[in-house]
Amino acid sequence: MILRKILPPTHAVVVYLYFFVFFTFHRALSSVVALSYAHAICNRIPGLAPRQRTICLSHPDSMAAAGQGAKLAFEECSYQFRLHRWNCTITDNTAGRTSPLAAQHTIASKEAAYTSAIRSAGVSYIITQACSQGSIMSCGCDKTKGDTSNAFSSEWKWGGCSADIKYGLTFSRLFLDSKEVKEDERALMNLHNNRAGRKAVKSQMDTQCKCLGVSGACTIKTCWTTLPGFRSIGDHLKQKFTKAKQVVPLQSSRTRNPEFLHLKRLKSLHRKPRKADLVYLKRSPSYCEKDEGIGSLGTTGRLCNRTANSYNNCDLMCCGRGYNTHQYTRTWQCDCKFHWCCHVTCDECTELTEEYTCK
Amino acid sequence: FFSAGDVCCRPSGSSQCTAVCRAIFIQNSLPTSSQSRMIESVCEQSVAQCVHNYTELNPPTSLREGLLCCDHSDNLTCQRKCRRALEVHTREEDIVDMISEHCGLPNAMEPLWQCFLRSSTNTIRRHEYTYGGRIEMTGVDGAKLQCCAKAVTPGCRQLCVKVSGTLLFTQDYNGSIQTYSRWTTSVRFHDECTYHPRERDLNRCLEEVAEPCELGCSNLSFCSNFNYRPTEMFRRCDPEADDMAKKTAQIWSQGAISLPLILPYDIPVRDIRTCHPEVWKAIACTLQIKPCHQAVRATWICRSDCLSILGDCLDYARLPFGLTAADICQRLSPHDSTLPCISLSKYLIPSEHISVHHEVTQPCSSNPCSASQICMVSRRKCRNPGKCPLYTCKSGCAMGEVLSHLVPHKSYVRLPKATDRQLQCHRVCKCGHHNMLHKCSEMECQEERACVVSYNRIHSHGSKFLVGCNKCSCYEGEVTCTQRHCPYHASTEIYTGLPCNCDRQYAPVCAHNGRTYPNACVAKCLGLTDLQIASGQCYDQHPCQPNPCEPLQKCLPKRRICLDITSEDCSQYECAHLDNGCRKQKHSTVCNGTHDFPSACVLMQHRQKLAYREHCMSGCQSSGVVCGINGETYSSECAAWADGVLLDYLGKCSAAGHLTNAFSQNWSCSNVICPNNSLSIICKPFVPPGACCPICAGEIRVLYSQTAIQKAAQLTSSPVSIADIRRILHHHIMVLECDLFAYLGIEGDLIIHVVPVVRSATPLQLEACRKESEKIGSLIISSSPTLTSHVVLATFIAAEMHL
Repeated sequence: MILRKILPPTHAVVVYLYFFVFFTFHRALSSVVALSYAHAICNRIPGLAPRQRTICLSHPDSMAAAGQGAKLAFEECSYQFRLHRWNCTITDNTAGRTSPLAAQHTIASKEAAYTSAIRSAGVSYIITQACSQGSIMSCGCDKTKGDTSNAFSSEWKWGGCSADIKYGLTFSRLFLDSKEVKEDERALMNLHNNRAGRKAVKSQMDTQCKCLGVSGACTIKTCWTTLPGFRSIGDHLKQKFTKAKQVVPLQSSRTRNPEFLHLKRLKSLHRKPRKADLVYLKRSPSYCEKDEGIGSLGTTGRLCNRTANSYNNCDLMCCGRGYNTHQYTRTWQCDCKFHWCCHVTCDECTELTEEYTCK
Repeated sequence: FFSAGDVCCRPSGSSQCTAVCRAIFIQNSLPTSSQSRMIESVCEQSVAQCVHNYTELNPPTSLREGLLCCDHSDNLTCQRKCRRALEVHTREEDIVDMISEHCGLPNAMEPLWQCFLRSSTNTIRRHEYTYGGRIEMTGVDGAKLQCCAKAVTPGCRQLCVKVSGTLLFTQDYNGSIQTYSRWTTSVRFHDECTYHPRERDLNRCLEEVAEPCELGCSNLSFCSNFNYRPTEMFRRCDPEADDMAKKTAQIWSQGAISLPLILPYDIPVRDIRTCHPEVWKAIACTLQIKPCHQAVRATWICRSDCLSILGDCLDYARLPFGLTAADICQRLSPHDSTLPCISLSKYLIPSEHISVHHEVTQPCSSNPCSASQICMVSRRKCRNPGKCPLYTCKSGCAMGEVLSHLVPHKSYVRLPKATDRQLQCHRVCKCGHHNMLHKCSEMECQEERACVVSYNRIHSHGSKFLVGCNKCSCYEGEVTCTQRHCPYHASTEIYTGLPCNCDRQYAPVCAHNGRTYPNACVAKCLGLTDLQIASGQCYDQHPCQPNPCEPLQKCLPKRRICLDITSEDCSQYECAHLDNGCRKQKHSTVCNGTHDFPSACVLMQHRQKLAYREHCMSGCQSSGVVCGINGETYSSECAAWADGVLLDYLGKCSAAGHLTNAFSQNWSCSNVICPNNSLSIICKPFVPPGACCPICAGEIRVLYSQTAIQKAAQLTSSPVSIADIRRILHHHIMVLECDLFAYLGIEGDLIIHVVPVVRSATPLQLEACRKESEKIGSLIISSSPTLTSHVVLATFIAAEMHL
């Protein structure tokens, strides 16, 4: 340690220097706690913007949930695009020096738009869920929907513990949007898509109602807001993906940086894109060939289906390169019978099947 | 954590040593090797030893949690290296560096790093002790969570805990999160458990938290026969319940009664608008307004009523084959005709008390305060009658995320740990600023140990039994009994009725817990030593001579009675700084007989004489020495009321008073003249234990556990006095004309009365106060969370009502 080199002078100086080093090195003494894992980890996660790092240090539990959200988003994205050429891989050109949470596509394509949106949706979703489950210190049930007000006049009232979607959306906005420090068109696109993702979560929130009471007469229902399954959000964003709009940045007269994004249309009407739509700047590459520069892994080795009518048809998936057929015998257990007592015997069925992978 | 640092570092001689020592305690991990060497070289042996002992015995919990986190990694090499890092290094920076070498840079998407991040939150929380009412600390609903322990079936118990406590998510081996939807769990709980016949205790407990019983309803439009009944209790008197009843009756008039949670089929009836419409209206209203009956555990309708109404109105043509009215009534009414039921006959006609219902006022019945505030009845003396507010809205803390039950500011509450399966472990929090619970500390878990009494008899925890004539109860392995001396007919000694059969001689002594005992024999019988008693009544003692306060402070006598007989610090005075304008004094209103003052200190500044320590009250005499029913002398009737004690007779106390089971009463209180009790014509007066003269009231006798009181005193950092208990309980009295009085009997139990505090009480008011006392008594007996949430009230272990 540094201390060993300073040891020769008198003890008083040693102690003073030790104290000095100690206090400057561990800056988080402003709070009662000096050290914790959060300090060590947050300072070492690559690719975080300064504001993101501050949020990580002050809310480590929310950070953990945000990471879970990003992972959920990645899994959902992989599911939604499992039959497409691009199956939700992100390769950016920072050579592994960015964490997957903050990674960004090289080309501002539709796929980049989907990635931003689903990531922002995933973070909001998991944070809201973690709030209801009590694993985040700074949030809980939605307080605005907690108390039963005195004056009743409607058919329903709020009750119980509603999911605190506001906290989830706010955290997602503060955390993910603070990554966009540059003020260029890519940042505008990312901010728009983040917002689209958050809107998707908000729009899919359910309100469940139930008549609580002994008689079947349901005069006033008690309602809660609940989170849907994440699959519905993934589906919703996939639809937005197919109808994503291309945009161009518009300079405003005073500043050098672009201020708005406008739809690129052949007609000359300049219109802003809808807040719930996904936007992109450049057309997507074909993702057929492997090209690290544009972030494509190519389709070599992907499974395809010879007879399917969709994107994973072997002609489309393999981009005309052809496919390898792999024949193998598939065995599985069939005709299982339960014998009293208590074991199960099964037969083994075999089948000759073929598997096709792109060249 | 810091206090340990003080203990070890303070005795050090040099400032260098202090600095190094404190630095070690400030950081949240084990001292590094260089720090240890520094301590050894710079500090004295004792300090070094102290530091060494402390750090040996208290490894940072970050170490333990870290090991659990290592298991989250998929890669076995990574797991091994992670554990090795935790063993080798002590500073988190080094640990993280070493783990990153083998497991990759920190990445918030990996469960391993997520676990470490979450454990840092635990560290922060532990230091601040601020739980802030968040779900993981208090549960969604801390009050209802206490009811879950009363569930009979394990299924309902689990559902109850899931709904009101924390839901922990589980991660299965795929890493995907299985979520417990709080919504579906709540719906399942409602459908399966709420009206289940076996879960009566659970449901009653939940009802008492969400919909407590209160006297009297008013302003109901559809269920108007329920109005103006100030001596009956109902759970819901709001317009919403009224409307629900109306709509229910409308739906029923379409020909079928459906009660989906009780009966699996609909009851076909003829048009209820023509067949006994008043009875059907009463049934619909009863189901929504829910009259409370002390002994009834659920809203049962009497079987005779059920049979008669169904006999007349059942549509036999549409009835499913084989079903009779008797079958239906078996499900709707109690099986046993001896169980009490709600009789419908009185709700068929308007109340008989319509003309006199204004005698009983309930200022809080219309819920005037907002949802996050508590309505408290204010019984102050009103100088301009008609213009004083009858209630005040005080802010309170919710015991969880949901505002079902609020506790007042500065009260100490205990909450079951939301994640504990057994629900026996609690934590105690204080209701502080911003309506948040803070300063939480963990309590030891209760164990339901059985008690072994003499002759090898074993009693289970919570059981009540008699030992001779004494009522006893077993609580956590400790038996608490009343201290009566039981008469033995065969004995030749004269039975006095006092504990330990002490002489009836009245030579009062004052014990150090503030209580006067009739003679030294009784005091010693109850466990006090010679050093703890002084001769003379406590009224005659002078706690301010010699002046126990610091030189610049003035001593003011402040009498109180502490429940723990052995407590040493039941001080009978308070110290006041007169010079700086009494700003440091806690605000506690006092009266000089006519006017209120914000504190005794301010009263002294104005050179007034202290009459009693309470808001000025009307309804009592404010001059003339009196003896209270607890055997203590007070300077006036109002002073007695301020202490929660009713008037026994005028003049100083001069006799030991009647006691239970004493069959020779004619020579006690012989020199006492009882005041003329005009109430004796409208009630049946009785003599409370320890008093000479009869009163009109309902009585509740509560047995409490001494060890629990001592623990509560530790948690609240001050001895528990009767005033504390009375303050919490009397907020539950919602009738303006009644108030709660409590005193410590010399037989070892607490005696509670609820009586009218107006000058001449009417029969209706007496009855209303008796019902309030019945309400409090049943809350104590059933251990309702509205009371047991308070740490001091959770010490009650058994109670008995005499009404």
